[in-house]
Formats: sequence, structure tokens, C-alpha cells
Amino acid sequence: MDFWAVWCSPCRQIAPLFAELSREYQGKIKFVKVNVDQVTEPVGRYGIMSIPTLMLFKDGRPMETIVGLQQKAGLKEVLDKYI
Amino acid sequence: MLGVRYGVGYVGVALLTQVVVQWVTYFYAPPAERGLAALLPIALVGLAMVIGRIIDAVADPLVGFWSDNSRFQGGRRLPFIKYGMVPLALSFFLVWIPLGGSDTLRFFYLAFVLSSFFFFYTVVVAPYLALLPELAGDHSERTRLSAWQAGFNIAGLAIAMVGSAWLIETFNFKIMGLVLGLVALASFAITGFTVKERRLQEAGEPESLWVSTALTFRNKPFLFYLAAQLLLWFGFNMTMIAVPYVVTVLMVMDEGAVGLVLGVALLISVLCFPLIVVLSNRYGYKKVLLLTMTLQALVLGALGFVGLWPGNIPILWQGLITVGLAGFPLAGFFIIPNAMLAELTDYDYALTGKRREAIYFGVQGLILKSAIGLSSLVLTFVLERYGFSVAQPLGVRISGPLAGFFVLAGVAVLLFYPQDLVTEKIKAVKI
Repeated sequence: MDFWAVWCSPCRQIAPLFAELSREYQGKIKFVKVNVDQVTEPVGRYGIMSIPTLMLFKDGRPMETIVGLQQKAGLKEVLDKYI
Repeated sequence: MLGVRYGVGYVGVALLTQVVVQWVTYFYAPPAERGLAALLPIALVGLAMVIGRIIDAVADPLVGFWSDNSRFQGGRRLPFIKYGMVPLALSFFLVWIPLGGSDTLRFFYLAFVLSSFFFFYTVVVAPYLALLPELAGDHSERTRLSAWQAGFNIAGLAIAMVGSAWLIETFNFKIMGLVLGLVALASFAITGFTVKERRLQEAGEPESLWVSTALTFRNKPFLFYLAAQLLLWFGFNMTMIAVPYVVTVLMVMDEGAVGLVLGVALLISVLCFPLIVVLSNRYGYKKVLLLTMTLQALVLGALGFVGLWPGNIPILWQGLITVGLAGFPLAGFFIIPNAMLAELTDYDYALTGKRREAIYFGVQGLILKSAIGLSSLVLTFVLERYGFSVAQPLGVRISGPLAGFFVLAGVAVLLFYPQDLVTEKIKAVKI
């Protein structure tokens, strides 16, 4: 789950990477984007303080939280742990 | 309407400092002929004021840095306004309740309350100003918000100048402090509780005060802007101090006419606000500021010739026409700098990827307050050296052209401001 906003420059930078990963992991992991200005409930529920924040859920439970700009290799490493 | 909800906070910004500057010395060390009790020797009042002003200037970049890097639940700006406004109003009120049984105790008391006042003033005002770039989505919105601020700035000045005198005359200084403190509190509360700030911030590593300040000074367009602002404020502050002398010495009128003269200039200035907004949207900030500063320099030069016009034009009209011509340049002075600095903080973000709006407003505050202090010294020197009486008016006569010279120097610096580069860069970060 990618928490982002239109005014957030690093969020826009990470967006293509997020889209790329969603294609690579199609059928294995569901990728969801949450615009924090439009959908506020999960922001409060998961205590999001800054963006971009990426969260990984398994069986409805948050397993990983990654804040800020990331490299593709680092993100793949995290994702691979859960498939 | 966002412009009103945000801009109204400027009533408090303008009102509080104007009242303190206008009345503190008079309240603690009234002129002998007024028959009021002197609470402190005038030199000690001046010293307490200097201490407060130093706290004010130094706190500017510190509070800016604190606000930029804060991680409060309510945001980076609004919590400062919400929690700072009550101690600010309280310390303003306490200035008018002199305590202490001796000069020494009263001096320490005044130095303490003035320092508290200026500190909390910065705590509220630096984050308040830093909200502008975030609230404004594009160039025209930035100009529009800045114009609302300017309108409320003038409203605050008017309340300070007219309202404070009326409250003091009708009641006393204590009531004036209470009423105007509450007015300022209400203006900050409207902004603090009705404007919405982004609650989330972009992720990033916290940086040190040193790095943050150094990056500010590495922003070249900002340096040109700041130098031009410094010279503009230098001239403007000299003029503000000189106006009462121009009225009483060159126009040979009493002190009551000072309000009339300033009122004419401010009224025409407000009428010119829409024109400045339209021109800024069409030609950009640099060109309009260059125009208004050049005109301002010319008008200041003309101020030295009040009373010397050929023909039978009454001196009152000579003075009013001259200050009336200052209305348009003043509108530029009130609106453009805040909008321009907001643009520069976006430029910084485009370069560094980090939002540090408040440190920019803080650094500007520090530099401009130093310029204001220095220009006051220069002007008093000129008046003393060359005379400020009807018999010897040369000091007053040259103060306008001298102020105009500093503004013109600001024009020369502003010519180097790379407006196209700034506009181009921020296109990439503004949605």
C-alpha cells in the first residue's frame, strides 16, 4: 500500500517504481495506492506521519512499513520475503 | 474564503508590533510637558527595547528551523500559532502593567516582558508567514493570498494607529493592552483554527540548523532578493521615521496631520492593490517590483522638495500630492515581497527536495530587523547633524532623497534577480 499525495515530490518519484513492481508481482501481491488527501481513515489508523510510506500487509496484518524514497532492489528484497 | 481566513492573521502581526513601537517609550518615559509620571529613564526603556529586539531577531531563524523540522500531530505551522498566541497576547498585555518598586526592578521587568513578547511574536509569526507557500497552489494564488495579507496588514496598522490612541485617551494603557491583545488573539485564532495545513509531511532526514541556514544562503536568487529587500526596508524605515518631521517641519503643520498624511498614502495604496495583482500575474514579480521600487525612489526624492514647489500651490497640497504618489509603489511594497519569498521557497524545494519555508522567513526577519535598527541610527544621525527644525530643516529635507538612494540601490541589485530561472524551476514542483 503506497501512501502518497499529489504535492509530494518524492511520492511522484517513487510512483513509476511502484507501478513497475505491481506488474512484476502481478498475481502474487496486490498493490494499492492511497491518496492521503482523499482517504484519511487509514492514515490515522496506521499512524502515518510522513510520505511516501509503503506498507506491506499479510492476511490483513501490517508486516512492514517503509518510509521515504527507496531503491527497487531493496523493495524487492522485502517483497520476496512474503511470497 | 482562504484569502480572508489566512490573511486576517496579519491584523495581529501588524497591530502588536506597531502598538509596541508607537507607545512603549511614551508610556514608560512620557514627555515632561504631558504631566504624566515617568516610570523609567528613557535610556533604560531604549535598552529594554534593544534587548527585546535582539531576542526577536535571533529567534527568527531558530524558530524557523524548529518549525520546518517539527513533527507535531497538527502540522509544522498551525501548532505554533495555536499554542503561541495566548502567551503572546498575555505578554503584550503585561507590557502595559508596569511592576517593580524601583527603576532597576522596573527595567528588569520591562526587559523580561518585552523579550517574552518578541519571542512569542516570532513563535507565532514565522510559522504563520511560512504557511503561504504551502497554501498557494500557483503564482496567481500566491499573489492573491499575499494581497489579502497586505490588506489586513493595513487594517492592523490602522487599528494600531487610530484605535490605540482612542483607547488610551478614553480609558487607559491597561485597557488598550487588554482590548488590542484580544483583537490580535482573535485574528490569530481565526487563522489557527480555520486554515487547514497538510498534516503529513514528506519523508526526509532531519537536518541541522547549520546545514539548513547554509542551504538558505546558497540559494543565489534568494541572496539577490534579500539584498534588494534589505535596501528597500532601509529606505522605507527611514521614511517612516522621517514622515512626522516632514509634516511638522517641511509642511509646517501640527502632529495631528501626520495621521492624515499617512492615511492618504495607505488609502491610495489599498486602492492600487488590484492593479498590483493584475500586473504581477501578467509580468511576474521582478518587473513589477522593479517598477514600484523605482517609482518609490523618485517619490522619496520628491519628498525633499515639499514646500519648494513653484507657483501658489499650498504646502498641504504639495505634501499630500507627494505622499499620494507613494500609494502605488507602497502597494507593491506590501504585496510582492511575501509572494516572491514564497516563490523562492518553492525554488529551494525544487533544488533540494526538502521543504524549509520557515527558515527563509526567519533569515529574512533577522536581516531586515538588523537593517531597520541600522537605518534608524543613520536617520537620527542625519537629523541631528543637518537639523530637524523649521529654522534648520536640511536634515529633514535630505532624509527623503537619502532613503530614495537606498531604494534605488535595491533596484540595481534586483536587476540581477534571475526570475526566469526561478519560474522555470518551480514549474517542476508545483502541481
